[in-house]
Amino acid sequence: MEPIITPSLRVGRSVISYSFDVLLIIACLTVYSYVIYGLRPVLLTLITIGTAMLCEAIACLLSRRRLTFGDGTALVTGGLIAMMMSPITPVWAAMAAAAFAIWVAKMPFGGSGRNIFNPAAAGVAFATFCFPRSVLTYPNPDQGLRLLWDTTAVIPQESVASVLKSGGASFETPMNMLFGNTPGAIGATTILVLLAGLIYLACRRTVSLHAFIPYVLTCAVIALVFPRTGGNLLNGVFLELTSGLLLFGGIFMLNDPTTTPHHASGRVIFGILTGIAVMLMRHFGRFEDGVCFAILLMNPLSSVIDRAAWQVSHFVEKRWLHRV
Amino acid sequence: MYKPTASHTGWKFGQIFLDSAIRDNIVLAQAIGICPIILAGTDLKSGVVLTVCTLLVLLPVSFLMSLIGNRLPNWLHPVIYTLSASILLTGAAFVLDNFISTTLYAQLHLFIPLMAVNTIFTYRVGGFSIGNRPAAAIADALGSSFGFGLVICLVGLLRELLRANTIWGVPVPIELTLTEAAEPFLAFILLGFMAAALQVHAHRKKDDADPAFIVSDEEVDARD
Repeated sequence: MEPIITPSLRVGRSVISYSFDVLLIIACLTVYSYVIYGLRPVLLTLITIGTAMLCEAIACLLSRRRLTFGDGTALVTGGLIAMMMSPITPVWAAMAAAAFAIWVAKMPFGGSGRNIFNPAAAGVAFATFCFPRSVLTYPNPDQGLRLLWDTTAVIPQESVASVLKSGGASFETPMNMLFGNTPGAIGATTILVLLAGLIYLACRRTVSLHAFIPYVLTCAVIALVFPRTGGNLLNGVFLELTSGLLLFGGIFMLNDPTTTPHHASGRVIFGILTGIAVMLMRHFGRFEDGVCFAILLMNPLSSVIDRAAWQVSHFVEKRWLHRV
Repeated sequence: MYKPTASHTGWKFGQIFLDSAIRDNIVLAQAIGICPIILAGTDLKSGVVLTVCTLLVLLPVSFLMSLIGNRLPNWLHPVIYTLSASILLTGAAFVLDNFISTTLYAQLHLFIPLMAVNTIFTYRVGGFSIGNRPAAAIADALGSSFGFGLVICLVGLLRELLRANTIWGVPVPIELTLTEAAEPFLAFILLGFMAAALQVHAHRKKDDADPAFIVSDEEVDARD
């Protein structure tokens, strides 16, 4: 029997440059969240990143391995988790998510480059399941959040994803959605910054758009055919694409070099399937957003998809292209 | 499909029991019978009831099938063991409802009949008992039930503790309450941890036996 090819990260400079690029975008998102909410999201991000690094250090010490901070993937995991949390998430919930991501989803599988599931998605999914009331309540963007511990005065707001889930009509203007002036996760509401980050990452060739574009198109088509909100269809599609973690997950977690297919055609199939899973979970799932769950669901399939795509393209090349 | 090895065909009663219960744990190593654990194993009482039901059904049916062996055509085997398991489970449900606890029966009324078509039966009875001697079949049935019971009781205990802060209905002074513990995901996470622990144990044994199995980090890096 042939060994199963697991997607693995190329070792060397590319890992560090990937981490650096992603961390740069996370830093931009954090600065923007400081402008919107105040100091709390920044502190929360720093604490989550610190927890992720600490957990990785402990795991390395326990398994008597070299410390693996050098590649920066622990920082990326912590940063991504913080970006997907609500600005008023309790500190312990964010820390639990980071600890779960490193200790359960990453290190037992062999550390960076060998993990099957996206650690950040696993951490956020864990926190969403265990503490839904703490993680899925959002503050009003105008409200200043200066203190780390005191969030009792915050009046919880419904996010656009939650409004769409309950079948209500959202009255957010497109401008508010683009500038992040809506209740939502720390780094996932500022669509303009995310798109700028995507352009930067694509120009640096840190991410490829092979998975992202089919993913967004699939989500858009499903939103168009099965709208969840009344009124203008195109507005509904726009809200569906810009709400929740859809774009954030598409940019960062769909392009994780370890847990997604490598082959271009495999990535296209992966993107389409993830889009279908996301929209299915939004329609029938329990929570307002299913991006993390959809990506976790697709992660184990990535090596299968990669291998199938490679075999098909190899077959096509051998059968038709070489004959000419 | 589980294949009986040479040692199983002998009379090593204890070995078969231990293999089925711990080393090749029916749930953690063979991934059989997960459904009742995820859905019904939310407290210790249901765990114990389902374990007793499994034992009461698996033991006689395994014995019966090992006696029948290959004397009957293959297509008749599933019919016989599913039918006999259904009859036994109907009796078990009746006893539970009328003589033990009506509330417990109301909680489990869906899962007890479903045990008859559980993969535990199709795998252990259909895959092991037929073609083995009655004593081996009994050892395997005991071991499988014990292994299943161990896992479902542990999962039920932990979920009950987290969900309601009780053990067997008795309150335990713990501050941490996680009402979401009754959801399936926590059982999946617990099963994952337990399966991983079993793998660690198995690998450690393998390491002890064969020093060449240990691979250093440098070798792994070089291999990549």
